Amino acid sequence: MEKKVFLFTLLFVLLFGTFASAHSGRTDSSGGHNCSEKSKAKGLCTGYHNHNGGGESTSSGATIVNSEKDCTDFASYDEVVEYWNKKGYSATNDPENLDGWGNGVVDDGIPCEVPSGYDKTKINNSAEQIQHNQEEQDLASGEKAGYPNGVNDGYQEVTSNNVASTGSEAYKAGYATGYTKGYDEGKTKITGEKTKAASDGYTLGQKQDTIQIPALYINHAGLKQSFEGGFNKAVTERVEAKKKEYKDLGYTDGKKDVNNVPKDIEEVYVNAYLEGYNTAQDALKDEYLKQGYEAAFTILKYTKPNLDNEKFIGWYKEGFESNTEVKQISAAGLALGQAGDSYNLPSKYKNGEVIFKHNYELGLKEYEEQQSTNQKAAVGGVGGLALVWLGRRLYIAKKMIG
Amino acid sequence: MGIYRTISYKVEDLFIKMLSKKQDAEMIKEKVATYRTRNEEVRNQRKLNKKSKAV
Repeated sequence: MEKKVFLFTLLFVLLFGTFASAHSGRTDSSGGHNCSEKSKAKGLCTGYHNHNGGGESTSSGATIVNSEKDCTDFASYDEVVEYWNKKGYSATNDPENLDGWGNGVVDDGIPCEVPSGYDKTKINNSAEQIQHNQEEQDLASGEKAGYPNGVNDGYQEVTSNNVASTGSEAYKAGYATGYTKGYDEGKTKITGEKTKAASDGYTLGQKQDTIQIPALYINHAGLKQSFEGGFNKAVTERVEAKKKEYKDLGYTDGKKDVNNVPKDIEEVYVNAYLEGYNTAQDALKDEYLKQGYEAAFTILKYTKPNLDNEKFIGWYKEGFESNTEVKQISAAGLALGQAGDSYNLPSKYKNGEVIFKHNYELGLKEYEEQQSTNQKAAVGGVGGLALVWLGRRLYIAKKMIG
Repeated sequence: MGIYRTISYKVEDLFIKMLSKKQDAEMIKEKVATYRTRNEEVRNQRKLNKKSKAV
């Protein structure tokens, strides 16, 4: 009996004993399963077979290794990759034969059938992942190298140049990224410092006329320029304010007709004073010219105004005599009167009514005188004719009785 | 022209009256009539001459 049991056990072990098949796949409750299409393609099995002692001899004669997973056991390819990565498998380390034989000869390090377009960099130890990691490293080192150069160039305000002359494409891309970032930061930094330099320069310019550039700004062209710009702005503002002050003073004096140029001041301020003075004098002149011009509408003959200043009187007279409108008004009034028409002031001559009326009366007088002369002439003529006629009658009467 | 002549004759008559106060009135009247008739005839003759020239 014991012998029978031993033989049976030996037979069982031979049939179902421990072996690792060269293909993947989960076993059923009997310790076997159907051969998958992939395994068939690889020649690992042909139909239903057992593992874990069931044993199976293959035509290829490969060593049969026990497998716990088959490609068909995963719901998605991400699960395959997760399992692969978790196990730390690679082209040369693939005991479950998820990727070929696992001896690195025919394997590509990609388990099962990878879907089209799948990101292979997720698969540990894949060529894509290795390349990807290398690129990541190059990108990081490039960015690290480009950043300080960018900061320096941005700060020095030189033209941006984010192109690396050496290294891989990833390195160059990283360099460009780091450079651009650094360049912007450098530029921001120098912009802030320039603002402060301009402010400092402006503050100094408010106090003094001589520039003294601090050592902090003298070695950077942009900072130096900003400081000088702020300084010059403040100085200009101060000068302009003072010029305005003297110009206003000159204007006030000019209105009073008192030319009193301040002494011991710079020429620029003297000029400002004179500018204001002349402006006021021009304004005064315009004022008196206008007064004289307007007076010409209201008075028939120029009369000296009641002013103390001879200059003002001269301007008044100049304005009076420059009024040519009055001549037109005079002519129009005279013509109306000479025509013997009734008085009618046109609206455009309203401001010169006095002149118009006066000339109308002159014209009307002329008209009346002319009329009177004409009448006398007519009467004289008739009288003469009557006398001649009477003389003729007398002559004939004498002749008849003679 | 009739009025003019009438007025002229009236005025002439006044002058004649003033100038011939001491003379014979009938004779003066005759002289005046003769003068005026002769003048009338001369005037008519001139008219006839003008007409005949025109024809």
